[in-house]
Amino acid sequence: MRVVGFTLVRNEEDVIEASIRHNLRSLDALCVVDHGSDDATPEILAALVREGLPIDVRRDDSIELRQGAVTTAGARRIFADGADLCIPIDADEFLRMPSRERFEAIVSAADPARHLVMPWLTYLPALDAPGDIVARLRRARRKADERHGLYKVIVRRSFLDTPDARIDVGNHRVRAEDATAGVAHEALPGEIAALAHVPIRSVGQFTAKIAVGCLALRLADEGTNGLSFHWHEEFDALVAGRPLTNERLKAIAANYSIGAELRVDPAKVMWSEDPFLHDIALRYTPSRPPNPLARILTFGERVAAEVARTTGGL
Amino acid sequence: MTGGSAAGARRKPKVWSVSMVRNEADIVEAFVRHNCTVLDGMAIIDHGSIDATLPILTALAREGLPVILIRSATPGYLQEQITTATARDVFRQTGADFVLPLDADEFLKVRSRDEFDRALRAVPPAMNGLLHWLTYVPDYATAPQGTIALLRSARRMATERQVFPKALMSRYLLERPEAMLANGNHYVARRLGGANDDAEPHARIRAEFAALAHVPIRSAAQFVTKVAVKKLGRIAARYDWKPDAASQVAYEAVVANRPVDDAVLLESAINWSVPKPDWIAPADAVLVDDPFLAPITLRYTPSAAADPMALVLAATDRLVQRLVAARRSATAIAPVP
Repeated sequence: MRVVGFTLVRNEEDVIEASIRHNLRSLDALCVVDHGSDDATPEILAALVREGLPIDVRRDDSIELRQGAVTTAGARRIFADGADLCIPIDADEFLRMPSRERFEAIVSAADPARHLVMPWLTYLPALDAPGDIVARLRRARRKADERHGLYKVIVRRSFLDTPDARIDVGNHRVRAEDATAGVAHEALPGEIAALAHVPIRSVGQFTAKIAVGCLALRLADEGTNGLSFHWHEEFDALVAGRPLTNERLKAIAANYSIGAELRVDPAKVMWSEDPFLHDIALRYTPSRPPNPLARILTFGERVAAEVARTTGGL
Repeated sequence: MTGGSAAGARRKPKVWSVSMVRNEADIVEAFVRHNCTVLDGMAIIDHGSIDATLPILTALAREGLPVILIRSATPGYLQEQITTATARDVFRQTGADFVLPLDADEFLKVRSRDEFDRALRAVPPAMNGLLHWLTYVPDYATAPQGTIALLRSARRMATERQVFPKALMSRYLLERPEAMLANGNHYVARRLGGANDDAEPHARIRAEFAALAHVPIRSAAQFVTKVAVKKLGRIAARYDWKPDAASQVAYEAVVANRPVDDAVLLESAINWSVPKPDWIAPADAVLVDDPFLAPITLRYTPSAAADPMALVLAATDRLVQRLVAARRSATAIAPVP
C-alpha cells in the first residue's frame, strides 16, 4: 500500500522541517505545494529535497488561498502517480501512527467504498519554554477533551472514480459536487491514526498566520470559508489594536475551531501529557523569531501590484 | 515681484489650507491648532483613517475651529486629484485668495500674519507661490513627554539637504481648469502628471516671511506605519519609490525587522527626502534652534502613536477589498463569449 501525504504550505519556516521529517516516518512520500512563501520555507524545502527525502515540491504563486481546490488537484495528481491513499496534512500537523502495519491492516479491512477519517487532536506547545521548536513540541500537551467534533480525511484511490468530488476546506472530508449528497466516511480509531495539530506556536507565528491567511481567504472571495471563523475573529482584534499575547494564545488554543456557542472558559480546559513527536533533529530551521509585519507587507506588496495591474493604478 | 498681485494691493488676503490625512492621530491636533493660528480656515479630507484621527478632527470642528471636515472613501492614492479638486471647491465656496496644500506633519512658519499677508500681496496675479520646506528634527528622547514637547524640541537643519519647495495655490487656479498639484504638492503642474520644467508660473516667497516646518519623523511607531502604508499605496498607484529613495531605504529596514531606535529615527530624519547615496551621518548634521510652534495645548491627542501592525493590516485589508471589488466589476462586464 502506497501512502502519500499532501501539504499546502505558506510561510511556516518555524515548523515545516519538523513536520516533514516527522511525517515521513509514516508516509512513503510527501507532495508539498509552497503557496507563495516569502520566509525561509522555500529554502528549507529545497534543502530537504537535496538531502534526498522523498518529497515533491511545487510552487503555487497565486495570492488567494483556495485550499480545497488546490488540495483536491494535488490528491488527484498523487493518485495518478500510483498512490493508494492520500493524506492531506497541514504544515502544523503531525501524524500519530504507532504502527504502519496495523494501519494498513485496518484500512484494508475497512469498506473500500468509503474514504477514511481520523481524529484531529489539538496540542499547545510550551509557549514560554526555551529551546528550538523541537524542544517546545516535545513539551506540547494535548487538549484532554476535544470538543470540535472534527476529523481529518484520508482519501482513497477511489477518489479518481468521482471526478466531481472534492476535498473540503480544512481537509475534514470528501464532498460530492452536489453538497447535499452525503459522502460516507469510516472513522479510524485514534490509536491507529490521528493528526496532532499544533496551530499556535508563538505570538509572531500566529499573528502572521491569521493575518496573511485571513487576507488570502478574503481575496479568494468564496464567501464563508468553513472553519476559518476563528481567523477572522483574531484578525479583527489585531486591526482593532489588540495584539496577541501568550495568554491570549492559550485562550485561543483552548477553543480552537470551536464555534462561539460551544466555547468554554479557557481556565477550565484540561491539557494532558501525550507526546507525539518522533525522534527528529533539525538542520535548516532558522532560530530567529517570526517577523509578522514583514510577512504582511510582503503579501501586501503582491496585492498592491495586483491592484495596480487590475485597475491601471487609479 | 512687480505689477498687480493675486490678492490685491490693500485687502487682507484670505488664506485657507487643504489637506488629505490618514492615520495621523499623534500629530493632527497640533497640526490643526497651530495652523489655525495663521490661516483663515482649513479643509481636511480624512481618507479612511482607522486610528483616532477622525474623532480628533471632529472634536476640533465642534470646538469651533475653522475646519471643514470631509470624509473620503475614494479608493487608491489620487492625492493630487483629490487635493486639487478640493482646493477648487474651497476657492469657490470661501472666496479664498490662496489655498495652501498641507500635510499633517507640516506647520506654517511665519513671524506674523501681517508679514505673511505682505508676502502674499506681492505674488503676481497669474502666479502661484512657492514656500521653502524646512526639515525639523526632534529630540526623540522627549517623546515620552508627548507631542508638544517633541515638536518644541525639534530643531531645523541649518542647511537644507533636500531640494523641494511646497506650492501655494493662488485663485488663478480657477482660470486653469487642467492645472493640478504635482505629487508631494511641490508645484502646480499644467496638467495631471505635468513636469516641473513646464509647470504653472510660481513666485518664491522668502523664508523669513513664510515657510513650512516639516516634522516627518516623530516616533518609531509613526515612522514604521508611515513608510509601510505609503509603500503599499504607491505600488497600487504605480508610483513606487526609486530604489535609493529615503522612504524605500526605510521600508526595507522595516521588512528586514531591523530595530527602529532613536539613532535610526535621527539618521532618517536628517536625511529625509534625500537619496541614499547622498546621506550624511547624524554627527555631520548641523541643527539650529528656530522654533515654529504656536503656543497651543492639546486636548485629544493619544499618549502614543497607534500600533503599526494594526494600521498596516487595515491598509492591506483595504487593498484586498479593492482588488476583490475590481475583479467582481471586471467579471460583471466581461463580454459573453
